[in-house]
Amino acid sequence: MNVFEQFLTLPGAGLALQALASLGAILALAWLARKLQLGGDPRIQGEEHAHALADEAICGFDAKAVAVDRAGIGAIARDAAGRILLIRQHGSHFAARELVSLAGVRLDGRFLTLSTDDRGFGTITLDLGEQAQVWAASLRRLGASMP
Amino acid sequence: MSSSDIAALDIVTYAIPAFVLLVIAEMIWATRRAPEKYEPRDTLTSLALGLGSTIAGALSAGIVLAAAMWLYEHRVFTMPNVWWAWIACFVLDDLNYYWFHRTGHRVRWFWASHVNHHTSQHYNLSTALRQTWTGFLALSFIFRIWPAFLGFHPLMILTVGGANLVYQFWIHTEAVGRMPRWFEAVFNTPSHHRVHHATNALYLDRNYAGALIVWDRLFGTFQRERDDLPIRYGIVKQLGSFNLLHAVFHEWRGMVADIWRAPWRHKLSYLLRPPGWSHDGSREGSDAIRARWLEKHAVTNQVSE
Repeated sequence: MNVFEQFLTLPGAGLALQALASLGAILALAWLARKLQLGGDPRIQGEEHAHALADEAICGFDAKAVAVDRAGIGAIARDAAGRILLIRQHGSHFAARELVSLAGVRLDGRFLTLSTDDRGFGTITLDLGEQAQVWAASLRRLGASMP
Repeated sequence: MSSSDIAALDIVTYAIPAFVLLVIAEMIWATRRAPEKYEPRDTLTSLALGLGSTIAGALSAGIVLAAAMWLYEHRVFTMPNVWWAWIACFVLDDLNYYWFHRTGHRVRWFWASHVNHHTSQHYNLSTALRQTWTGFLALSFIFRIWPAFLGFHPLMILTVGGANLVYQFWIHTEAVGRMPRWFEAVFNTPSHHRVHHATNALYLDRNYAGALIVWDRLFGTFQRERDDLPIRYGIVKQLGSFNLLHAVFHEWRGMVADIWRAPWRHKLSYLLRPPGWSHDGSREGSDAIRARWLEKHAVTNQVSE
């Protein structure tokens, strides 16, 4: 009996082999998806697009003010109730989170860096040009009413 | 009927090579027609979830089978190993799947496990393999094994359950438009299941069927796919991450955090009420989102075709 045959006699060996083969297939498929250049690089086309994305993220979110990153990778929106929504590119789509704390907001010239309480969502730095300072000031004002 | 009379067929394992080939075929279709239908990182997460789910399922299969065998030993009838019993078992299992699936969307405890399948913003064949790792922990199998008490052999139940899972693979695609009218009326199809995976308000918590769409028509949860409503996929609060462990455990973690923070009299509600429920009304569930959308759009939505 060779080593492989001995391995097959071990409990769970069949499952381990099946898992290994499946892992190989998974990596091969992921490689193929990359090789075929699948995926997209969507950008926020403007304020109207950001409005639509905000409404999609929170049904009925009616953005009263919006600022879009210069490269279109993200946007920040505020509604009449003072809710702040952060929108960012996620793969071939967009994802959004409501900003419930200002702890993760930093201003650096024309760049506004924002992170939400959801660590999985990550941090995003938006190039908002001159609007960065305006939004930072606006967020500071709103911050007083945040928990 | 003893277990020696019946041979369980591990249909899912045999189907894996076909799954791989069909995913490749769909990727080639996407390359030519719509490259954004696939996202390599999303595909990798989906497939890794599929592998983990298979391993988790294999590790817990013994306990599930033992529980089903115990029920079978206390059965009230004995179903023979004949063709009509297999069909009856499949239909009953599909009905059980409908209720398991509906509960999986309407009770947060079960949703914490099932949400994994819905976290992709894509809808392709790799999404079909995006399965939970925590189904056993959620005790979801209880919905499927009780026919053993009626007298269906556990191996028969496992086999038809596998066939149901394999059937559901092909409906996770945008490459297929609509099937013939008679087929759409009876079976779950890519069109019906696209609605199920949608986050559009009108489509939330609709079309729970496994193989037969008749259950949704019967129990009032059917929603036809509308050509004038482009579908967005995923969950109401999109995951925004390709992290595998975050995908697996995010809802469990969120649920535990909610229970921890909630006043004592509301703790159980975070376990048993629908996802999106909150004791202070600070969040919205699918019913409220859907109702508000319908009111805004004044839609006269036909439940049946």
